[in-house]
Amino acid sequence: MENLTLSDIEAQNQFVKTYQIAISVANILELSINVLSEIANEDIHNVINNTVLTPSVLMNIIGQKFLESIKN
Amino acid sequence: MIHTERAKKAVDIANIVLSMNKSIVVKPNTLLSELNAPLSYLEISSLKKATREVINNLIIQDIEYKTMGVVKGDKYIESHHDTMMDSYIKTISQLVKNHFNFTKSTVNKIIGEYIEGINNHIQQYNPDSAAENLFNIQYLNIPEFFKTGIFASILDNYPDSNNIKLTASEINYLSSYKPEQTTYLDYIRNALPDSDLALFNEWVGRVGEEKLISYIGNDQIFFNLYKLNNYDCLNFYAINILYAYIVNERLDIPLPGSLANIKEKTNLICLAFVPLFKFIYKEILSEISRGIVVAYIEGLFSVYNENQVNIIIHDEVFDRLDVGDSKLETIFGCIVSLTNKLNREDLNVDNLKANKDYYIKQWMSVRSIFAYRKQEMILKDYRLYAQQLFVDTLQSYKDVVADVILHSDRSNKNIEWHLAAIIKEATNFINNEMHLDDFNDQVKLEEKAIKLIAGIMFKDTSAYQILMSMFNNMQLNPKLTPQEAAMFAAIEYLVSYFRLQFEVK
Repeated sequence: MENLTLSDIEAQNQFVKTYQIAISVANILELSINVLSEIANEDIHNVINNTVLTPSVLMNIIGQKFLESIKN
Repeated sequence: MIHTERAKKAVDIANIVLSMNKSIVVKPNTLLSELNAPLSYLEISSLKKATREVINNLIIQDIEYKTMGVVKGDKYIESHHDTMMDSYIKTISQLVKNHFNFTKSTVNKIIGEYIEGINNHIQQYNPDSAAENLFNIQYLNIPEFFKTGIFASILDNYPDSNNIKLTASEINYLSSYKPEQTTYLDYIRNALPDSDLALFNEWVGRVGEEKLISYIGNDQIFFNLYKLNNYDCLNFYAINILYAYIVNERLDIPLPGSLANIKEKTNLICLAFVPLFKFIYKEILSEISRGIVVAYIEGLFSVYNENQVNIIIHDEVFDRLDVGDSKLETIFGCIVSLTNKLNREDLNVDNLKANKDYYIKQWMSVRSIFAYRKQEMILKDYRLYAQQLFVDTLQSYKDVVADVILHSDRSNKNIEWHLAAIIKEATNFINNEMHLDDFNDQVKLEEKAIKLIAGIMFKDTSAYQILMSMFNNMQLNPKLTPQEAAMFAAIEYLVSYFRLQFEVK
């Protein structure tokens, strides 16, 4: 992360652009992880509890898949 | 409330997206636009001298703050965002569960049945694609039993030629006499001296007990001897001569009928058959001395059919054929080069040796053509079967497919039209995309079956996306359990579900 200070205009632009994307991504992450936890209890046999697929790992995978979907 | 950890990750991802010079615009009236709504109000205070880190932290705090509920006393009152999130979690969980359940319990089951059907067909078909497998080869030589001991002395007791012609009833007469409580061959064994027994048994073992018994007194075989190879002609004469002789010799034991009649007839059989035996025997010896390798050939080899070609090889001559390790290839090459012009005289040691290279080249060429044609034929058969099985499967699950179509967002609900379109698409796929490797390799077959059943038969469901995601993840990481692969598929399903709700700019 750059630690350079930004001008007021630059900082505001940066804030708006980042914020617009971040709120969508945050909602997708929150909703996806909760949905996966919900279905994991029944259909996917507690995978989240029994394997390396912890919520934190899942979050990284979702993030990665999200970025892939944007590239494509 | 959106947790800090997720807000942090979201900001990280947002920065990566920006570094790609891309941005996302959420489509209006979507689930994502509704969830974003409580966050969309922005009040930006002065950010003078702020670093990117400061900005990121401000965003994280803002996301948390705007989605957070309030605590009143000891109660947490959900925010509007919390309420919406809870509701969507339930709705989407149910949606994903429904798709996964249908995929697992219906589509995947049908895929399993389809793959099993194809595998059963392939197993039953059991194609043997090498051209050399069309040749049934027997390696024979004159049995030692014919050369020494009692049988050789019988031959010496009778003249080399005469004009005797046997009638069917005279030959049949021999089979009318069967010593009680013993078989023909045991009767002979009991009469042979110990010195001959081992050679006799060796001969019987080589030809086959059943076959030799069927020759005794069999006028049908006698009058059709031209159909047999020379070695079997020898066997026919030998077993009848031996049996008639021993019956004749043992006339002191009680016998049915007139004694004179039996003695006369058995003697007649020996008188007639010994010269014929000697003639064939000499023929075989002559072929062996002239180096003729193939004693008998039946059937015409062709790359266009799968006719079996039966060959009997003089074992002794085969041993003398000095062409290295390519003896059979040289013989096959000669046979396929001459085809219907083939004369057994051409299959002699000298000719085979002189033209070895040419014959081997011919054989390898024919072998390649045959293998290619055979593969084409097998692929054609497999494809036809795959099509028929697909149609049968569709017929079996017609109601399920129809139900999917009726609940889809298609405007055309004509089921018969859709079924015909499904069959057409599957047929095109099988004929253009399924090759021999796809049928012989289980992984490839599974991939194609997923396409056919999930991607074509159930194209209006998410089954194809889910199963291909599982399939691809398991190929990338074979250690994944099916449950873990299903989890990856669920993630990909969710991401693609959300991807439809925004545009990338």
